[in-house]
Amino acid sequence: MAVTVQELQELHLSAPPMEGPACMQGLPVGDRAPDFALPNSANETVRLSDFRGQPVVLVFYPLDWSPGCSKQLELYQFELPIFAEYGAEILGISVDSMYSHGAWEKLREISFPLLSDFHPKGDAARAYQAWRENDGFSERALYVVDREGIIRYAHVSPYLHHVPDIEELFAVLAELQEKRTKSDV
Amino acid sequence: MSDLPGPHQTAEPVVVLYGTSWCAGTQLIRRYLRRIEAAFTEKDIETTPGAEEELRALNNGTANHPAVLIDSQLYAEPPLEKLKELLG
Repeated sequence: MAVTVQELQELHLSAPPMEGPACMQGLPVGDRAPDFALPNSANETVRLSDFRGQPVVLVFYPLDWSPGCSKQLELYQFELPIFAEYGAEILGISVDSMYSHGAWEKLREISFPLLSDFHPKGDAARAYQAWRENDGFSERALYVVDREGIIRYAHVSPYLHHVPDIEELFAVLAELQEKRTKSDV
Repeated sequence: MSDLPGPHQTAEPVVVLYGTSWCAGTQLIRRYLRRIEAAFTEKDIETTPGAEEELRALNNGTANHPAVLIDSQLYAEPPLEKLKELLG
């Protein structure tokens, strides 16, 4: 019998768990965010510096199709209107190929860019101190980069299956927006 | 006077969300329930005494979460579409 779209969408519910403590601590708040040039699922090169002038949320996640990642990105997709209210761009980054990203984003209806840290494998994750050498994928790490390219929020999940509190993320974006409003007056 | 809804009233469903603070699915459902302004109770199965046992009792012994109890029916790891269908 042919597999259904729903079965594929729900694969993560029965997929092997992704757990384990964090190995890396990530970059600290206040550091300049390293630039990167990574392909999206359409093989277009996306650079962090393309977004200078607006806040960017960088979502390093271990792997497409895996349990926590599927739900984490679904959460951000659901909240895209809120990210837009803050004028923030959101970029997902993992070591998966652009073809995997293409299939996964279509199936799970993800409309923000998923970037492929595929070759040299994990270079962007390494630059952000989020590379798990023994596993061959990144930590679950979240960064907010302000419009000048400085890291204003950094969070590496203490366990791979832990997803940071989205309210904390929105609080940082609200603060950046408030600062900008004040500086514009 | 009866607490039962009258002929022109609709009873609000009793909604309980079982989850954990670190779970993306729990956050997603919580945000959804707030967005539709649904009245609900949240029980963190790691920090609310008895909540995990309560969930296991409702869910054939497993603590898979998030899980949503709507009136007396439990939905374990429900897709958002299912909740939209049930709660609007």
